[in-house]
Amino acid sequence: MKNKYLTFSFTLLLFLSFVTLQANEKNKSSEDLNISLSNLCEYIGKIQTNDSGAKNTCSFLPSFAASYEYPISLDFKLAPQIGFTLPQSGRDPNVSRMTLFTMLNSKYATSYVNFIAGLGLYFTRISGPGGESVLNNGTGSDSFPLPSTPVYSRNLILNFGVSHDLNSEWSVEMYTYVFNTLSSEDRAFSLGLGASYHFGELK
Amino acid sequence: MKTVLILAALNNFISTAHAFTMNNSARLAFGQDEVIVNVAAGLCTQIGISDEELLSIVGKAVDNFWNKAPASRLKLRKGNLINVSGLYHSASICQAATNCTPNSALAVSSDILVTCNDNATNFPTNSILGITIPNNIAAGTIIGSLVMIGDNVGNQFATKNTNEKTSIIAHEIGHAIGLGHSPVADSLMYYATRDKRVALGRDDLDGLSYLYPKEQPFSGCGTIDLDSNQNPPQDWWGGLLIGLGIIGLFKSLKQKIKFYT
Repeated sequence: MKNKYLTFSFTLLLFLSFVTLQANEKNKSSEDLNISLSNLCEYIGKIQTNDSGAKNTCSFLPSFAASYEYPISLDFKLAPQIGFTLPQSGRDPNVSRMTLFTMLNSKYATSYVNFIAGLGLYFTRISGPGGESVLNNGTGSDSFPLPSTPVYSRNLILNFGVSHDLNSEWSVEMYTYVFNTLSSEDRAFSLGLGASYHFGELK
Repeated sequence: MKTVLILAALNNFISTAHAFTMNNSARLAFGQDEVIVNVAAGLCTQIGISDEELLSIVGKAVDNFWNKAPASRLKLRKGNLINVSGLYHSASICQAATNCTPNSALAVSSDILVTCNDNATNFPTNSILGITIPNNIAAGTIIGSLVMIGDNVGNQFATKNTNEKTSIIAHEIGHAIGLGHSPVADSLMYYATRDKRVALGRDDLDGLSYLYPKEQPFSGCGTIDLDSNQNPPQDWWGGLLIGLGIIGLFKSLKQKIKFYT
């Protein structure tokens, strides 16, 4: 698994190195509405994925977000953001889960990349069909209640990332959501990689 | 409803639905965020480990599994060895001739108690390793749960290695906090043991988040509970308002900065 992380990190660095060669300057001081599409790898290394003891690395979880950037200075912007992940079934087809998030990001621009840091709320919505499921109970089978009414859990998360402007309209970004930053026992990381389209200032 | 764990080799099953489940129709869960898991002292004779070792395994079971869920508010803590009646070793967990109405003589006054038991009704075969029931319930919440480990002569729990014993006890603790079985084998709450159980599965995480949703940055204060009678709470609107408030605050700040510059 460590090798997979190293391979992924190396590939990402190679990609970022490549795109930074094509960096171009843009007007950093204007307001900017942008939407982004990324893939979020949730809770990396925290979830057992088979009965042989393997843990999760990255799976397909599309994430959509909209952000409006306000320049504070030439190099510094604040960027409130809202977004969600595509509703998906859980490990089981009958459980539906999706996430919603609201963030307040700050963005510091350098010649090649923008450094992102922010704070936000991350909602996980879980719901099910209700009713009961007949499952093996060791000595036979038994009926177990299924989830029904949607329930939301709410995490305060930190966001760290970098983005790179490919041109005045497109940028690519990589970010990490940190859950339970101050608690070593349930701290978790989700990693995202995606692209943003910039509409520019709303008039 | 009683739940038991049995060796995989003995059973195959076909499930009609696929989801984490709960072990009671009332969606019962502990009311508090922190639950202590104690061990009954001096009752284990056949499982091949001492009381202290069992307590240590309980600590691993909660730390390596249940306490690692990012979106759950529940924290389980290893407790102490406590002295209890010999009934906990010999009595049936359910009242006779019922669909497992809890035996009131074994009611756990608070939190979770892990004990060894050799009652033949609880453990009719040596392949049944553990049995659990929330047996003290009040006002829609679990007050106390009882976990019994098979201590009958020849019970296969004793032949398991420490990692397997840890995951077996973690599975039973899952029932104690309100979860039922999962139909997927990569979940801890699957009905059968697995050699290499190292972490919670996605289904376990979803189930735990469902029963014990995390409510950061704080719980209750500043949130709006749409229906306070529901368990788990449905107060996500409060959090969303906090988020929108942050954005509003930022906009005001931004206007002030513009004004002064």
